[in-house]
Amino acid sequence: MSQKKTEKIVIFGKGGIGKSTICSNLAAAYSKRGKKVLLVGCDPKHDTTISLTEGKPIKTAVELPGFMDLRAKREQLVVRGRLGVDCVESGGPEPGIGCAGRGISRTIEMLESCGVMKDGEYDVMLFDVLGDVVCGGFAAPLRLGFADKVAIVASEELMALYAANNIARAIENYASNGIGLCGIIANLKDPGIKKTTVARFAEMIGTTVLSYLPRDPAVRQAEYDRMTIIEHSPEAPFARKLLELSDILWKLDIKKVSVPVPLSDEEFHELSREDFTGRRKNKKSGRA
Amino acid sequence: MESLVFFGKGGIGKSTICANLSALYGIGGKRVLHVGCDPKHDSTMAIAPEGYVRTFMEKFAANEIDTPGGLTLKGRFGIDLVEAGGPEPGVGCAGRGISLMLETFKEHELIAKGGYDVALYDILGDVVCGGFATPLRAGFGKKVFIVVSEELMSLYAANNIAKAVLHYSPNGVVLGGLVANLRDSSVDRAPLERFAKLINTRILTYIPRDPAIREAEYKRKTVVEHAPKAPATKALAKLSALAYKLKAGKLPLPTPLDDRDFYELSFDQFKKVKVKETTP
Repeated sequence: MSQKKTEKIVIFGKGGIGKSTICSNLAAAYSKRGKKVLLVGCDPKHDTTISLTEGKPIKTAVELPGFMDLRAKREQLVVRGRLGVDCVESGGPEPGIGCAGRGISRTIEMLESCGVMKDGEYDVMLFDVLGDVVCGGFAAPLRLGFADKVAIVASEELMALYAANNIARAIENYASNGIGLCGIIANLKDPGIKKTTVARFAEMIGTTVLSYLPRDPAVRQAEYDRMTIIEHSPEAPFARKLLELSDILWKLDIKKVSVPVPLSDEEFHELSREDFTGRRKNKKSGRA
Repeated sequence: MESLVFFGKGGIGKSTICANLSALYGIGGKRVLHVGCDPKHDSTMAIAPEGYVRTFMEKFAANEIDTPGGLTLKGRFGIDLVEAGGPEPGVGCAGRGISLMLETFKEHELIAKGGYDVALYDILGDVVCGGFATPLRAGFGKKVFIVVSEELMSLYAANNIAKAVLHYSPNGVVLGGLVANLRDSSVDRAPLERFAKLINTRILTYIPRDPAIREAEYKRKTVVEHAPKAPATKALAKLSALAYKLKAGKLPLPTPLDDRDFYELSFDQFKKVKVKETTP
């Protein structure tokens, strides 16, 4: 655990899937293990870091005066949160105007220009990225070579898996940058029934399910108290599972992770009709 | 011509609702243009002829668009169909594709010369960046409807869409109201009603959970033709009449919440009144 290299982990997932909760808790987990952590929220909703900042939203990068000329000061951009986690929020555009993706690219450039991204500054950098519309902007952390390990949060719901498939396509696209898909983090809506759907889908696109997160009332309680579950109820099942996940992600050797083989839109449509029990005709690539 | 725009978060049921409304208008003898603006390009599935519907993006890339006939595909019930399509994930910009498509509409005078009674736009509303709001910006869409469920994220998206509507209101864009497509019909509707009131709009229709919707989907049909007597069909028929008849001039401007208000007020299910008037 004493390596100098910074672990760069990107968590993608569709809005409302629980990825911000997972990210802030992973950040808390790493911090609890004595690591220096940077948590970057890349969701226009800008609530990734809120459980680490006493429920008070921090100023987003797009709101800073230095957004246009890249001259933002580090102390404006990076806010020290609970457990010593350093927090950044990219923020989003005024709805109906501007481009959310560009805000994310810009935020990363800003972080770079004030020295935050240098190796050795942090042990772990965690990016929490909205994965509903994987346009070029939201893929910025992959494109710009800032990511090593990528994980996708998904539920058994069709739209979540559709988004996951699109994200896998983006990962495949940028695989030459050295990024790898570590796997899917399953945050099921109904843990009793559909565990196998996600597992079958994962296998189909050449990846695995890293963790099944339990439904746990502690998650909601912690949210109401504006705290991470790791801090709020360290003994809760969700907290334990998150600690385990943080270890899995940390230890994974990126060189041993294979490039995903996402489905094409038409394949996805067909296979999803039978809950992914069918077979792929050609398991090559989902890219057109 | 009535220009109706349906926004909603992915997976909320907006394509199902839109396809059914177009079908109802088509069956009722109206000339309909149905434009799908979701990168998932499945808006027209239930009203398209057999086979794959090539998207605008695909046709454009292949240089197949030189006549108005190249732009639209004749669907069932005489509906003219267009699917915008989307970019390769991780590359390009979905919003720009929509802008390009609308520019091409203008170039070919599709709206001006098409003789349509209704133009219906089905638009993804998760990320309301400038691109997805183009149908409001370019003066294509007029009456905006937002499909929501009881889930908080759908209301967050709805609030953002209301902001975009407010911003483009000088173009004559108005918020027609919300369409509730609940996941769980038994859920308490009061928070949803309170949210609608907070942003100065109303819920036009509750679409009931109805197994006929799923049955129709598997058959790639609209529910209105598959099960004309089903509760969902009745609700959709009511909505189609309302959406068509609403007078744009009589609708109030929405008063969306700012992000921080939304966050605060959502914690107690919108029971408190707004902290302050928003400044868009």
